[in-house]
Amino acid sequence: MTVARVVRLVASTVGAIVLLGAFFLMEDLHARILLAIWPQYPNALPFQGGTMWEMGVRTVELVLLSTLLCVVIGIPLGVIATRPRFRDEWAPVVDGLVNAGQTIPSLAIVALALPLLGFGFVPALVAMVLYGLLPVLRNTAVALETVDKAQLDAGRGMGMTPWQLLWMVELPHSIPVILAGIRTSAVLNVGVAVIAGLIGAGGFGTAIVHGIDLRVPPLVWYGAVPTALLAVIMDVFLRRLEEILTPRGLRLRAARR
Amino acid sequence: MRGPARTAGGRSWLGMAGAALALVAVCGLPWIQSAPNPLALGSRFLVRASTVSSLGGWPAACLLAAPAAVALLVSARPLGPRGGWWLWAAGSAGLLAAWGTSEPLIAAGRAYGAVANVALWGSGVWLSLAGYGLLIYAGVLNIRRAGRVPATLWLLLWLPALLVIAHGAWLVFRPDPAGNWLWRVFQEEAQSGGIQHRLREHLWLAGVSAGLSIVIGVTIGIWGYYRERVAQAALYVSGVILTLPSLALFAMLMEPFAALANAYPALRSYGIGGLGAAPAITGLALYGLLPVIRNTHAGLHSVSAAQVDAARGMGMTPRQIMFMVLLPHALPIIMAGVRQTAVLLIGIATLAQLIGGGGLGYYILQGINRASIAHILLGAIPAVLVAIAVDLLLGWLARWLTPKGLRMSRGVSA
Repeated sequence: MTVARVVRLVASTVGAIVLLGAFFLMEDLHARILLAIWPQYPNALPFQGGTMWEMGVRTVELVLLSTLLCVVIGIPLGVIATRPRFRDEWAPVVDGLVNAGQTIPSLAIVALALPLLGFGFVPALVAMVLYGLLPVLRNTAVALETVDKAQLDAGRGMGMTPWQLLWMVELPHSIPVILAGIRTSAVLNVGVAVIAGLIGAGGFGTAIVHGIDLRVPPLVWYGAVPTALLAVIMDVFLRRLEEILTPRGLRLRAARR
Repeated sequence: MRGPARTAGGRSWLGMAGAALALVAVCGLPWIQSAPNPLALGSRFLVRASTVSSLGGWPAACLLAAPAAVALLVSARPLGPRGGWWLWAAGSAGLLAAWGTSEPLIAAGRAYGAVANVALWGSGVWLSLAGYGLLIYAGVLNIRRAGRVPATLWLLLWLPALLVIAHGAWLVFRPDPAGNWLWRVFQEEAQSGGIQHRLREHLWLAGVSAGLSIVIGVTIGIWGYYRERVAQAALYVSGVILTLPSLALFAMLMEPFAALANAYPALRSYGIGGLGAAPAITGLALYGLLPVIRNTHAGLHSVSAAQVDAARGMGMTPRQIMFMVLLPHALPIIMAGVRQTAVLLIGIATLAQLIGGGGLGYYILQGINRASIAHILLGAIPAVLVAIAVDLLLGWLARWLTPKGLRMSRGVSA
């Protein structure tokens, strides 16, 4: 990794954090603007359930932790499922799991976590990991399966061991697709984190759900706008990450695609 | 599956995973959940020596755990030529045991007084069923690998699994469902017409919004074919929309609709307002745009320039080229986008109830409020089934709509 890439990586990370943090910290300004738009709800803000900063930190915590767990669990599973030794047995199982998972509503997964695991942060986290795992798993498996066979042969011909093939050929080639899966998972997880407000996970979902229940528009927007911003910044940041982390030799092809 | 088929006799990792899952489920996860009434959170029973000896005795515990233990031992070493049969036998025995002992265990527990009136199979039952199912699958795979299997025997191999499925179907659909919690809730709702009503609402929400997405998306896609900048802008905007959390989008759409209804009270008679189906359908339709636009764009561009040239050479007008050449060729890809949108929207439509839009989300939210699994499943299972059915139906429709000349050359349309 060149110095320029490291600098770009750090710069985009810091940029995303500063942008979000500044937005969350300007909670008084947001409250004043929202109350000016809806003067008929003078007592709606500040929200009893927490300041924008607190809710933001909680939501970011949920999203980052669940995405991290998805990556830690999903990529190894995807790698295992595509090894020649396991592939015949596992590929149909992974396919079936991924296809079935797409039809299950996220609300249902969050809802089921309540009677099975209880109220709060951990049940929400489990639900988010279960839901976000599939994109990472699917993209890892697909990316590894579609590595050019000629390149694998070339690697093998150079005397690479299977581990070396995995680390030096297969995974570097798969980085763009795997990162795209992680991005999908992270963005999905922002959505699920909001829904998790229903089972007491905290975060912006709490403000949105309260706002809808009590029919208080400023409260709804107080939760919804930062969530939307978080999702968009997450998406942009991870897209940038894909660009930066894609190996140089692959960039031309990625651009053409 | 690619690559040369593995020779028989290697290790079966799938078998190991299935056996381990079953063993963990039997030994460590709650087998029965029970509560005094459906709305209360209940206690959980493990198949541990202490509980089982009071509920079903040691034979039950051995019956449940032994197949998994045997299979784990078998699959830990390289399988011999008969290894597949061992896995299959263990999986079948375990599946039948897990299925067969659960109800008697509940009955025994009731007689003993340890299990309250309402009892439900715990996660242990379901996960051990899944583990033993995996074991059967691994066994069948290895049997097939070891040599050809006659067709009659083939059917026999799946017999235990089919038996369990058939018995399960009978349990759910039998006329006298005493003691079946999920079924009881389902029956109450079906008799009062509630579930039919919610299902209709759900289909309406998802159907109307998917229809809107398709019409708008395909139109924009066609427009974008002639103007690349329009296509890029539309792809970007719809991509950002799909990024937004669905609940936040729905919530933010409530206020504009409320304002609209306040400005034009006549709209209220059509049911348009801040609460209700109108913001939900709008949100859903916005959400479903990206797959349709993306696939229309990709599909139109996948048509070879030679074919467009040939059409032009035949004297076709641009409109004829679009409707007689480009769209028919792009149809399989467009339909793949339509399928994605439909499945996506059926799932997200469960959120509509949060803003008063109705649909199957009604039961899921009720389930959350009452911590009742039965109500959650009552909302979730129909939603999943509808999504699968619509997916299959659209796949079939796509094949049927694809021009005959294209069917051969493009076997897979997704």
